[in-house]
Amino acid sequence: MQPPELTGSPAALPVSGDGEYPQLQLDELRMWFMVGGGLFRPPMAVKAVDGVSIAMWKGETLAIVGESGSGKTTLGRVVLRLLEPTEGRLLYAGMDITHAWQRDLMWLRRKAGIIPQDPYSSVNPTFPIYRILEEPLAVHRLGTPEERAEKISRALENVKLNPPDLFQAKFPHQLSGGQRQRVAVARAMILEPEFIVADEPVSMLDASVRISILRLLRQLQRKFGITFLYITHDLATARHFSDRVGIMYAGKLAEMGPVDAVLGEPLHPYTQALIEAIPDPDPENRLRDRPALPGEPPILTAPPPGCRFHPRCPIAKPGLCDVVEPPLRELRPDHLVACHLAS
Amino acid sequence: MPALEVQNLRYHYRTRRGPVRAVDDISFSVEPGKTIAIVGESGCGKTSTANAILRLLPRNVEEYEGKVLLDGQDVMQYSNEEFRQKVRWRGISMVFQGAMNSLSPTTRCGLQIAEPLIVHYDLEREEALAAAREGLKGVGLSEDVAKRFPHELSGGMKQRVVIAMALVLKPKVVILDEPTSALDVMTQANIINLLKNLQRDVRLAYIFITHDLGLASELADDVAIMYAGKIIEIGTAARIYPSPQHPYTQKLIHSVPLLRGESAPDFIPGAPPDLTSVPLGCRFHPRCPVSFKICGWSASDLESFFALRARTEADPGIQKVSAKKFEPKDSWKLVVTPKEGVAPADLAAEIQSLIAFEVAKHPVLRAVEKVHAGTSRVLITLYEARAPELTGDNGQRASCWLLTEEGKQYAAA
Amino acid sequence: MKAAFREALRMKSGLVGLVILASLIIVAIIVPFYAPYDVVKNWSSYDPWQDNPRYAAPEWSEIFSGKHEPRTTFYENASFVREYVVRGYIPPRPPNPALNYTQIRISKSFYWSADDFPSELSIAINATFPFQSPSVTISFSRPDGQNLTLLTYAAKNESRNQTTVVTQKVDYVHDIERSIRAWVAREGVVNSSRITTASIFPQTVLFAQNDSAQLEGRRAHLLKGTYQLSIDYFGFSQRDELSARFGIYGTVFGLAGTDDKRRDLLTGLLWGAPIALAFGVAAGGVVVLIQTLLGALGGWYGGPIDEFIQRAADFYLVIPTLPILILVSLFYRPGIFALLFYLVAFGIVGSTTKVVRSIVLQIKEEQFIEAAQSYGASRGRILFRYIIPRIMPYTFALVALSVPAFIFVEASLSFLGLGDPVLPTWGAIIGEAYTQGALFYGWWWWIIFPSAGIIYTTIGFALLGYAFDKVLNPRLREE
Repeated sequence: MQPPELTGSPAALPVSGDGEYPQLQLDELRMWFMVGGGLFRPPMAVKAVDGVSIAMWKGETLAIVGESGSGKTTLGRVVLRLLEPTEGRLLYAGMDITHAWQRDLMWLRRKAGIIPQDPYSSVNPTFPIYRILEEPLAVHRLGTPEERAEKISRALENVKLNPPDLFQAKFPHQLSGGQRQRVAVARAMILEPEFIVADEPVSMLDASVRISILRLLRQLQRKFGITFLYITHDLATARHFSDRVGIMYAGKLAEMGPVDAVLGEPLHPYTQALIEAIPDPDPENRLRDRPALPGEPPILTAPPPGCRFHPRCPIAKPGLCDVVEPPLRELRPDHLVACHLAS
Repeated sequence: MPALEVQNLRYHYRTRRGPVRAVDDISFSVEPGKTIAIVGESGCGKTSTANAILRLLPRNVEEYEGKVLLDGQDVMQYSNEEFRQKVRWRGISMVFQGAMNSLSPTTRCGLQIAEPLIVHYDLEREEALAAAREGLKGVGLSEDVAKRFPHELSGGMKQRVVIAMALVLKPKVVILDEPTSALDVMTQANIINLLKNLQRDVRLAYIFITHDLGLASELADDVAIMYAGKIIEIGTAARIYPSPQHPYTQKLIHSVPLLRGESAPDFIPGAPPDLTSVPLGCRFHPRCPVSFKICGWSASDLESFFALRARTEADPGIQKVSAKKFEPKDSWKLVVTPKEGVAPADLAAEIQSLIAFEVAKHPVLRAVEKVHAGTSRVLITLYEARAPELTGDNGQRASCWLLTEEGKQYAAA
Repeated sequence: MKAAFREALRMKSGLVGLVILASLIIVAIIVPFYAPYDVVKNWSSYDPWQDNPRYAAPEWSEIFSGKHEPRTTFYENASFVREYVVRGYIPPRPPNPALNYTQIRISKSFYWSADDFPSELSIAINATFPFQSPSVTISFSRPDGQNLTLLTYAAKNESRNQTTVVTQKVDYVHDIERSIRAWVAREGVVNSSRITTASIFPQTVLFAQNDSAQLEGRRAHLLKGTYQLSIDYFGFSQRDELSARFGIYGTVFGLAGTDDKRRDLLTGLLWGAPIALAFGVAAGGVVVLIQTLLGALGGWYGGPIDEFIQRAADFYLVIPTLPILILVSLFYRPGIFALLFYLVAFGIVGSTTKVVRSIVLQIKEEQFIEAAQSYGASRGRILFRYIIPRIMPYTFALVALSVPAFIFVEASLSFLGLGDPVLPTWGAIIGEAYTQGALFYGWWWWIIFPSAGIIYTTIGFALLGYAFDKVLNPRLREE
């Protein structure tokens, strides 16, 4: 199958030259929701994802970092085709799935999964763990009952819920938040997927539990070669648990690149501000103010013209930044920034 | 003189499964214009401490005693009515966890802030609203926010409204319970800056409750680490952060993923204990990497250890094991029943050699003090478990056996 | 679901509700042993109940009156004393022809010790004779020594068949009254002018003392002692036979009394329980289930389906069910199953639909639903296997709460006389009591017991449903 023509955004061009398709490609993807609209008012478009281009390679973890209203959660859903993109293209392993019908996507449902955010609602509270894990197998009609039992046991062992027999019969409300998220991970893993979207999987857990879950995901990735899209607002965990990171602001990518490059040398003013706003444990912090950007992220129905960040940007140049939208440019090897003034 | 001093505060409440020892003999103090951060995992009793200080008690309270000195006055002695009039919200107020979501959706913000003034000071509505508008300015919001409803505001603005509500009666001490938990990074930074400024301008004393050590370092002059209802380390931030003494604090600090800096974070295995059945001795010992036999042990752990061996026929001599508690000193003995035909003396010898052989692999066996063969059963006596005291100097104290003289001797041996 | 059940039972209301419900179920089970269905089938006929008194209070109610009330007794032929049976032949002697004759005298004496008068008397005489009517005389003797002849009459042969048995009950009420009137005039002390105008109730006058109050109905003074009823028979063949049955109806009967058709109300009451239970649960269960399904479908699929179902629910909520049912019933009296059908038809959508829809809308937002979509579960699967089991416990509570309403609708219709014409439902019993003037005449048992039955059942279901609701509602919202 010939690789489809892409719009030329450097983020979407396959980087590897050996003919391998990226696991996932987004090409100027837009996801707009129409809301409101009454008798005399036209509906408004909430531009949750407004022109994002990304290529993800097999076996890597890409973190998408953004605050609320950046569109990262919507991006996670579009990538799994739980939503149909408004514009742009979505390719999975080279196949265009942008407008495929849901019933034609069952193969995708086997290969891609999601780990949701809220441990209280991420697993079905009325099912015992065994059934929760069996459901994906039942939906795809995989395996005899013995085979399924075997898979479920192994899945529970993989997420360190030992002994499996003990946990299988329990109900979610008998488990702690961290254990429930492990069940969510096991459920995502049970179909032996290639690609997983982890949507803030640890942000509602205690700080000490977060590391154990993220470590687990990393281990599973190395063992099974899974590609992860890790959506979070926490740059610090992104730093320790991903290979590349993309910073989203108001529905667009501001910066993207290898995680050490982006965090070591942030080129976009928003990334810089974000890094400065996060406190590391240091008792000297109390003696000074925390550098923070004033204002709020823009509302997605009417983003500012030009660069969306310009109203809050400390170095915004009138006449340029409020007029022209900056494209994503590769300023360092593999390190892309969408800013007129970055160097 | 400290703005607030808490001495030997104890707060237990009853549940169907037993008494929850939420706050178990804690003491700390905070000076005016300074902050003490109470840091711990969820379920360690931090929010219960706040509720205990403000006397927000449910009906099933079992124990509630100690001293709470506000400006030198012991407010625990006050009646409920006195407390409500003089202390709650006027001397000490609180920003509750998730408060921005508990703002009443049908009342305008100005009125919500003004309410305590109308109730407590008997102010007229107009005066109270004027004071509320002043309060809004003080937290960096414009006055017309008073006319708006909470759902019209962003997360950061709502949190500022909540802070204004906490400050409206001009208290001396403010308890902040995870004040930024639902907020974005940028908004969080702005709110923290606001809190810092308010503290400087008004000389507020903060009790800052959080599980996030990074966030705590933004405000904390002193830090108290709580675990299972007790403060296990307390001291100045300047000493605790660089050199924590307690193994738990060490692990906690090490578990924070750093944005800058090299080390990879590590997690603490296991989970905090259920407050209805805390471990004996040092409450952290089941998860502690360096615990010794006097730190404490769990009788049920030992019981299951032997029971498992009995079940798997690893020790064919054991028929049944049960743990029995002896009052008053929290001492436990394991009663091991031998199988038919096995003499107790033989079984005792077998258990002795088992312990000597396996103690390296199973540190839980360190708790065994003595194995004694009776006429029909074998009695395993376990060490008495005592909780360690806070030891150290004025700048930093931790309750860990390894810091005491006794502990150091054990460690050497 | 089990956990919710246990939690509900821990509450006092749930426990009481369950106890009530269990007791009703036990009644429903043992009822066929006390009064099998063929007895109930006879509810609408008269004959099986003939031996019961009319408007009789429950037997235990005599505790309140302090009097020892008389029970109903029937003296069968075998208990009559055959004083003599003479069969003879008188040869012809001009001008008299030959005469075959049979002369029989039977009598029954009984001791009256109750504190009250009987409610009715019944004398049934069965005479067998070939062709010529025999003469029958009924006489009555009292403890105070007075005797009177109640009636002399010629028995009629109704089938005109020479050898078949002829059965007759004694009518001739007016003749009996006339005899009694003459006797009172002769022996009593009552003013003779009053005798002609007062109505004579044989069951009281015959048992009343001969004083001025003798004709005052039940206010007369009772004469206790040994009475005797005698029947003298003169038949004109040698083959005549005579048997009699004498019944004294008491004033009390059974545990629940009787109604105007002499029916034992206990039968009706007990049978009312399983009928009410079955009807209420069937109607409630089916209606709530259908409404839940439609609400869930609407909430889950949204769009035009949802719009349609919601508007239908609005429409149904506005329709006045009971008046329409009444109108229908005026033309065509529905049996209990037809009534069930109508109620279900009127209850396809309703308030439960809206409630369930909003719950489903909430559950829709939960993240495991999204996760299910991501592993490929179809919409139908998610709805029927994940969402609906989640709301099942709540549905159960709604069923429990709606059962009383349906029982009440059925009772209302039966009360108005529009319900099932055959079955003894509680509402039907109350309805008949009302139209017969039970309140006016003071036949309290006829109204109180069926009403108590309805109230008891209603309370039972309401408590159980309420307890369930209290347990489930916050939980549903938390999760």
